[in-house]
Amino acid sequence: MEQFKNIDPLDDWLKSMKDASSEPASEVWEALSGRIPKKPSNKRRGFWLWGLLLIFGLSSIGYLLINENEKINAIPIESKVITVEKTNKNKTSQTPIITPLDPQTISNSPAQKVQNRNRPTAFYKSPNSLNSILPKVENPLKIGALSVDSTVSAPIESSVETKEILDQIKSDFRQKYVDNLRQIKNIELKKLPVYPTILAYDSGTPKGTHSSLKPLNIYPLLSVDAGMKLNHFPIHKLLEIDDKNAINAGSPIQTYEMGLQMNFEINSKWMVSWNVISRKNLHFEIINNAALAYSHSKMETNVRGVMTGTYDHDVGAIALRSTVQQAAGTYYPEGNFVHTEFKLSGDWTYKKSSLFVYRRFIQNKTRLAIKAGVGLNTLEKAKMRVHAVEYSDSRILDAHMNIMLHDLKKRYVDGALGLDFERPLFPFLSIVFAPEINIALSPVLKNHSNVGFGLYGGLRYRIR
Amino acid sequence: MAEKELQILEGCRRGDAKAQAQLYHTFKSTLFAICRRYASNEQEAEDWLQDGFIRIYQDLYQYKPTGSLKAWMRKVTLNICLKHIRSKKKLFPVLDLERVAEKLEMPTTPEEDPQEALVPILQQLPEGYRAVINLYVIEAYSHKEIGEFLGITESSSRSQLTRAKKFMRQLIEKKRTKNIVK
Repeated sequence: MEQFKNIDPLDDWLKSMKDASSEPASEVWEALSGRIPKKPSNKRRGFWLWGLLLIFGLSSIGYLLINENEKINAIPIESKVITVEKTNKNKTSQTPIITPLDPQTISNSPAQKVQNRNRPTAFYKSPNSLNSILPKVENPLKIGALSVDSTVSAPIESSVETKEILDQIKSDFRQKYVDNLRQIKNIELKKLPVYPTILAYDSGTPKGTHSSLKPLNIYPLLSVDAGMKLNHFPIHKLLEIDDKNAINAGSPIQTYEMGLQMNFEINSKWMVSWNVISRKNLHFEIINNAALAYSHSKMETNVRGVMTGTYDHDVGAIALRSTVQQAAGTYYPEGNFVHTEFKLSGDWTYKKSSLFVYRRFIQNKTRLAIKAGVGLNTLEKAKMRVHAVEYSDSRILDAHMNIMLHDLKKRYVDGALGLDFERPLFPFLSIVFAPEINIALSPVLKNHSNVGFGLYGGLRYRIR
Repeated sequence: MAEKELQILEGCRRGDAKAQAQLYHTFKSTLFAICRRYASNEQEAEDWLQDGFIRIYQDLYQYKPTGSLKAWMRKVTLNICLKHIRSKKKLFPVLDLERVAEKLEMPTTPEEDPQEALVPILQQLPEGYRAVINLYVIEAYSHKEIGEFLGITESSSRSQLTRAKKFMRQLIEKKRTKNIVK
C-alpha cells in the first residue's frame, strides 16, 4: 500500500523549515531594548502612587485656595480719610470724603444685617454734603449693592486748582472702590453656598435700598471624578453545546472599573462627562455538570485547541461547543453517556471610553442626577482556561487547556442608564455614588444576558 | 524546563535587563525564522519579532513553567504573526497567479541552504496563502483550525492551500529556470 501514499516533496521541503533558525539584524535588539515593558506590579504600584499624589496635590491646592480667601478676609479694609479744602467764597468748611465700603460707614441697621447675612452687600451711607462730589459709579462686578444717591446735586463753585484736586480724588475714589469691591467679592464668595447659582437670592432687603441682583453665575465649571465601579452580570442562561446538549451557565461574573472622568458642568441642571477607564473582570467562571453522550473520550493534557464560537463580550457567555470537544477529546454526540464536568475561567480587560449626559436636581445639600450615556469598549487582553474532567465507569480523565479567544469582540458599544448622588464634603470636593444599568448594544448571542448592574463610588473635585 | 531557562525566566520576572537580553539572544534565531515565514519581507519580520518579544516580556509574569519555554515563546510569536496577518484587509486577493508568477522578480543570489532558498519564495506569496501553507504544512493545524484562525471556512482553507501550493511550485520552477540560465 506504500506506493499509494501521496508524498508531496514540497511538503517535506516546507516541513524542514519548522526548526530553522535565522539571525535578525543587530538593530532589532537596540530598538527592542527600549520598548521592553516594566514589571506589571511596579506599574500598578506606580498607578496608586501617582493617584495618591494627584489626590494629595489637588487637595493641597484646594486647601491653599481656601486659606488664601481667609487671608483676604483678614486684610483690614483701608479706612483712610481724605479731606479737601474747598475754595468756596461763601462757605469754607472741611468736608470729609470717605471711601466707600469703609467698615466705619457700613450700615449696621437690623434690616441690613439680615441683608448682609444673605448677600455680598455693603452700603455707603452718604451725607448729603458729599453727594455733589461723589462720582456715580456703575457696579462693575455686578455684586454688592453700593447705594450712592447721586441724584441730588449741589453746585460747587470751585477754582481750577480745586477741580484738579477733585478729579484726583474721584480717580482715587474709583480705584479704591473697585479694589474694595474685589476684596469683598472674594470674602463673600467664600460665604456662598456650595451651589450658589441654584439658590435664588431672596434677602428680603427693603425696597429702594439697592437694585435687584442676579445670582452669581459660576458656570460653566470643570470637575474631575476619580473612582472605582463594581459591576455584576447575572448569567442564568442555557448555553447550547449542540442540538441535543446544553449546559447551565449559572455563575454570575463581577468586573471592576477604574479611571478618571472629566465633567463639564454647563449649568446647574446639565452636565456632560467624558471618561477613560479600564475594566477588568474580577472573576469569571462557568462551572458545569453535564451528562454528555460520548462513545469514547480522548483526553490529553496540553491539547492544542482553539476557542470557537461567539463570545459575548460583556457577560462572558461563550458558545462552548468546540471547547468542550477539544478539552474533552473527540466528541461523539451519539453513544455511551459519560459524565463530564468542566470549568471555564479566565480574565480579560477592556478599555472603555464613555460619554454621559446628566440632568441634575437638588435635594437639600445632596445633588441627584439622572444620567444616560454610551461607551466604546476596546479589548486590551483576554485569557481563558478550560478545565474538564470526565468520569466514566472505568476511568477519570482530567484535562486543562488554554484557550485563544480569537473570536472575542475587539470593540463594542454599550449604553448605560443610572443615578448620580453627589454630596459635598468641602466646597470643592464631593463624594459621589452612582448605581448604573449597563446594556450591551452590540449584537450578542441569543439566550445570553447582556444586561449588567454596577455601583460607582468616587470623589469629584470641582475646579472653580 | 532547563536550569538555564529557569534562571533567565526568573531574571526577566525581576526586570533584570541582563536576563532580558539573554532571553532575546537565546531565542531570537528560532523566533525570527517563524516571523520570516509569515512576513512579506525582512523588515516586516523584524517588526513582528519585536512585537513578539514585547508580548513575551509582558506575559512572562503570568507564564507557568510547566512545559517548554521555547514552545510557549513559539506559540506567542505565532499568535503575533497571525494577529498581523488577520489585520490585513485582503488575505486572499483575486489574482491571476500565473501572470503574477511571471512578473515576480526572484532574488538572484544563490542560496546553498535549501531552507533559506524557500524563504524568499514564501515571502512572494500573498498573505493568506502564505499563512495557510505555514499553518497546514509546517505547523500541522487542521483546515478547521486554520479557518478559525483566519476567519475563513474550512473548505476555503483547503482550496486556498491548493492554489498556494500551485503558485509556490510555479515560483520554484521559475527560480530553477533562472539559475540554469545563469
